[in-house]
Amino acid sequence: MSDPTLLVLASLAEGDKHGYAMMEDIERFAGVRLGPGTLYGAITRLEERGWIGPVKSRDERRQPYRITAAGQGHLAEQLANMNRVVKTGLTRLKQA
Amino acid sequence: MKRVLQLLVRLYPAWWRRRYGHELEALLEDSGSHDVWDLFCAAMEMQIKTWSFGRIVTVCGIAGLLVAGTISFLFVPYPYRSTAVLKSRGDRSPEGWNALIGAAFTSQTLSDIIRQEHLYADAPTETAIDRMRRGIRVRPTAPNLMQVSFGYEDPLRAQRVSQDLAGRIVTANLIPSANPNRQLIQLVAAPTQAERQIEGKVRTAFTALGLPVGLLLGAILAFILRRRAPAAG
Repeated sequence: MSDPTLLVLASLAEGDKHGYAMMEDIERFAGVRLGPGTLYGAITRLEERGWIGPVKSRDERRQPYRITAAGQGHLAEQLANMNRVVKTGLTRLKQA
Repeated sequence: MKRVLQLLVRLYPAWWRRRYGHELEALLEDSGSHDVWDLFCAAMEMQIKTWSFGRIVTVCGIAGLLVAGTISFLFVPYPYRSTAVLKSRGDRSPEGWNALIGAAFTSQTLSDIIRQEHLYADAPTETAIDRMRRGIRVRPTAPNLMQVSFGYEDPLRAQRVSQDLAGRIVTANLIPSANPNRQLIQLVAAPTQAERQIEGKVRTAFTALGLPVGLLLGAILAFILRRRAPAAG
């Protein structure tokens, strides 16, 4: 799982986060350190698609984001696809 | 480094900076990241994501042309070429000149010159002979005049080899089969001091190649960006 948009969605599935919090969280659960450009590229694309949105905050420079219902649906669909691939791969490995 | 990062943030399009610029700057401060390449690529991606397909392809084509041109001028070697002129006492047909050149520039002759002048270091003999043949230019300028030149990366050796080649032609002229009419041949212009030559054809071909490669990469890039763009509706 290295698609930055999916990593961001997976991070926001836990709760609202700003850029740096997402970066730290993604490194913790996926072992991937996203660069600032890559992270904000993903945030831009996700917001354009309506899969995440900004949350009101006092600190405009550390804008938190929240996953939308459409974003949750997309994440669930992608994870289900991945899960199917993982299960198939593991089953086939056991049979080999 | 902070200035470099600020400069890179300015590479993003204005609409993007208005929306996300402050957030990105805060992230750079919080994370202490110095990933310049990541920031540059992302800024370029944001710049070209609003461009039309045609604009991306055109700009990439021009960029390909410029990059290939720069590479060709920096890395395609500049040989030095030294030229000698030989004069035959009587006119010769092109076939006559060719027979003489064939007798003068045998593989053995060229191999001897290569060894003597230490040309094309590290290249196997056959390769060195091929390269030397490509470096030699023989051009009849009149029925009784012949220009012989040699191109090499070292001007002094280019001049010496050019002199040697002219001498080999004069010597080969003594072989009856190469000179059936027994016409004398002499050196009328000693090899010139080698001058730098631009290998125009190689450079032009390499530079021209940059255009289709750039156009192709531009088309691929535009296709990728279109796929990454949000679906309409």
